[in-house]
Amino acid sequence: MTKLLHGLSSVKGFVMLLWTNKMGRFGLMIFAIFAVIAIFAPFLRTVDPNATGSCENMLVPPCAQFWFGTDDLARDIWSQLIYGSRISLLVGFTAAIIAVAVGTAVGVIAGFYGGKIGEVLMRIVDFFMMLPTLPLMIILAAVLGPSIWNIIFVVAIVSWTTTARVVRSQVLSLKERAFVEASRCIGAGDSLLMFGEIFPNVVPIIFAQAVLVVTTAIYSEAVLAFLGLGDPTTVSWGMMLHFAFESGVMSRTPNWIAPPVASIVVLIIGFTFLGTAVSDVLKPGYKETRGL
Amino acid sequence: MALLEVRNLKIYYFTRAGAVKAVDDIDLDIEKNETLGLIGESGCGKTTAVFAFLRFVTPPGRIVGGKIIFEGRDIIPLSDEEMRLLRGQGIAMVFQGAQNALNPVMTVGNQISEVILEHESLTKEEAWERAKEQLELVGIGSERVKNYPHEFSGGMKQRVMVAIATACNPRLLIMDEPVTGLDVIVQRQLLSLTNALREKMRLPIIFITHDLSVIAETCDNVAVMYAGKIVEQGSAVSLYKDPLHPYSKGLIGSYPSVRGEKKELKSIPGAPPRLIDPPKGCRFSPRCSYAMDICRTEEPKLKNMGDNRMVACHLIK
Amino acid sequence: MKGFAGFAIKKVGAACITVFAIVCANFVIFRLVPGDPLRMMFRDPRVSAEQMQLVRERFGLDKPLGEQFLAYLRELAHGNLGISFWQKRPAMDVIADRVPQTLLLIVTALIIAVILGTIFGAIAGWKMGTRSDSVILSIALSLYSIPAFCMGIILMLIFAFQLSIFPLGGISTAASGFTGFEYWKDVAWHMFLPALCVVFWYGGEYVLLTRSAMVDALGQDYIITARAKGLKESAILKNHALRNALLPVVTITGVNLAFAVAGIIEVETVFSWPGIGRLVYDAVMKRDYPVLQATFVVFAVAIVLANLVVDLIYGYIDPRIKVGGGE
Repeated sequence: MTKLLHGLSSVKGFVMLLWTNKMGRFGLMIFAIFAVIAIFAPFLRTVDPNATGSCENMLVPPCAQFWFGTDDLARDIWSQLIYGSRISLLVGFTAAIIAVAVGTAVGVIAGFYGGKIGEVLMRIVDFFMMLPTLPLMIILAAVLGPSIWNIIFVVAIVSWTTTARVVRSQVLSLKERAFVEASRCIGAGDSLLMFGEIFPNVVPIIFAQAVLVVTTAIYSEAVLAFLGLGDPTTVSWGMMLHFAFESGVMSRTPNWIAPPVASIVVLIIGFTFLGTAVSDVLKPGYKETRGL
Repeated sequence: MALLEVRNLKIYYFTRAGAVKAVDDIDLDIEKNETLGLIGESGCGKTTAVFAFLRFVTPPGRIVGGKIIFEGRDIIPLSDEEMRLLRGQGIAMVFQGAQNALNPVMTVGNQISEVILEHESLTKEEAWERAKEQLELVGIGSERVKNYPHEFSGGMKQRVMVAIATACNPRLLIMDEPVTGLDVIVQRQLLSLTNALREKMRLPIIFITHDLSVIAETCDNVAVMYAGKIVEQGSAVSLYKDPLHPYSKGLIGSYPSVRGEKKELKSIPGAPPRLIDPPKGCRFSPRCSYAMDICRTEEPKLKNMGDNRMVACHLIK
Repeated sequence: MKGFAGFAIKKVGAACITVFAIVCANFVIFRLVPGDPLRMMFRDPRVSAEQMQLVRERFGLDKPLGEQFLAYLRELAHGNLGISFWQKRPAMDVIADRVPQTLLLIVTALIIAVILGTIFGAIAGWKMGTRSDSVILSIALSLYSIPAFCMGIILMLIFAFQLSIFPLGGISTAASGFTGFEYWKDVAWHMFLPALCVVFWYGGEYVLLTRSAMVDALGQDYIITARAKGLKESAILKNHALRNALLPVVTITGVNLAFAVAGIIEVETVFSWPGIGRLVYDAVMKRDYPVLQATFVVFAVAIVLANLVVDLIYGYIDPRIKVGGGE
């Protein structure tokens, strides 16, 4: 348990380290802003984002009542934008958690046990990595049907492989280290070793991977929604763009297109910068070059 | 006038923690037909010093003082372009046998001829022929001129390095730990090659190593470095027979002799000092068994004892 | 087996196995995944059970799975990837119609992207730590991280909608009757924005790659050796640093082809460029599963083949593999 806490406090230290990095700081701020918007969405929106309206309210340009105007079904764009943050972050994080969890499990088992099991698992990983991600997501989403959980599943299924690889190589190098030998000597069993010793030392890497996977997950949800595979009962930025695209009036309504595009771009750039900061911080010698 | 005169050379590395005084006020002379050995443990500053002779001091390191006079010219204030022309053709260097000292995607022939083409006005074909000759010179068949570095063993790669370094007949050759990490038989081959070069090409060499036995094989004179300073200098023979500085005594004493009587190996206790804040007075005093009070307060200067011997020690009068 | 030949055989063999695995996976996805594709296609309640059964029989979907799989493989061997629900003709033909446009777009854009990306990446790596490096790095990172479809929409918003410099989409102006040079000029005009999208995003990636490969190469010992020889900086950069830095760049090209596919789908969709990417979108909208399935196979196999070509090229240019037999 203490080891787990130790792992978690190293996560806190890790986040603080990220803050010292310029890119990391920028990324963390972007994340914070969008998180706040998502959490406080019910207070920030002006009307129900799903509420359609009457003809005269369709495709209204920005005005006092509809801050960003309305779409072709008279839905308020501003409110859609606010609630869209929830979907992006929700799908992004949930899919990432699943993908990282699966990837970590596979990586730890493959690394720790090695041998036949490890071989088989890594062949599966290799195979998944060979498949083109977007086409795979598209056909899975098309076959499974539009629902938020299907999207999350589809995104997770293409994102778990890098985590598996990274975690496995970390476990392999940890296995060689002395403390594993020492623990075995005092009679520690396999699961105890796995969860007690190795896992806490893999936590920083997992956290780093999670950041990277969240970035891809947010992007994947946006693309799938844009291509029309999103959940029509939810509001997402990608879906807003999809409807705009399909409406045929895209050229005359920059107010419909610009906000969701800008939001997607800013959120993804923020997380990408965060991801770069993560890989910088993890490089050996980072603390020293900063004089920490 | 000596071929290379080093006066009061100081090279410091400026880190956040402070200035590391890697080379702190050293003097050296190398004559035209002399092979000088530079010996000392890891971190004593010998590599930093010789890198400075090629002006390879990279930040955070900086030459903060002194002169390096090669063929009558101080090379420290030279422009980058003038220095570049000097490298490879005036002063050349053979590096420690790292795996990657040779470009893996270029044939050895090209790597030799490119230095020739840079410094001399020959045609490509002529340079290629010279490259073949160089390979013969170092004991590798000229038919291997089209091979890539990964096709050679460690010892042969070192010989290719020598071929490259001597290609333009430099006036001074520096060899930085050239045989470290090679097995004894290969070492022997490389050392006889070095000796052959000394005689045939009359090439003055600065030979850096931490291995005393190698110095005995190849060097006329020796300079002993400790913690960024030169503590003793003299002919190789006299250093072995009669080391004056306690550190040199410790070095010689810690080497087992194959022929001599069986005696206990003496090692020098302690560790080299941190060069950010070197000890006051003589830098060796914390480890010296003969240390007197004056050793801890006043730094001894290099004194000429006559007969080609110099020592920096308060014990020696 | 020596050097390149042995390397090539190994790689080709691996590629064949992968292609077979992809083919099997493709089958699995559509048969074993929960959700009857047929039911999804005919969500129209007016379609009766008998009609569905007819369709099922027609497409052989009522036979046992093992038989279906063998039939699938047999058809595949004849290049038959199914019949398009929407266009009522072989899926392969539908795809074949779209291939030239995609190739035109992707080859042009990729060549420009690789050249520009490598140049800027090499400069950034060479000047690591300086202002130019930071500028190039930030720009490349931003361009690379923006999703291709967002970049496309942004470009479209600015240049097509607001400024009206470029057309809104498609490959040529409809019913214009252009021929010959005029036609190609028109196509080029239409291709500019989608190609720019691909160049931004792929080029950005190459800048990052080349830069880090360059930084790695410059940290190697042979650079010090080259300096000690007194070579000119330009010679060191070209013969020693760049030649080594390009090796990993070639390898990564193969790996990133999978992502290039995603970019193609997005860019073609946004700009209505009639290529395979846009076909995917159309097939999704029309629920044309055979075509979707076929595009998946085509993309996956294309990637495997492209990877193979890249691997073989790498094996040829790296003397450690080409010549082989180190001591």
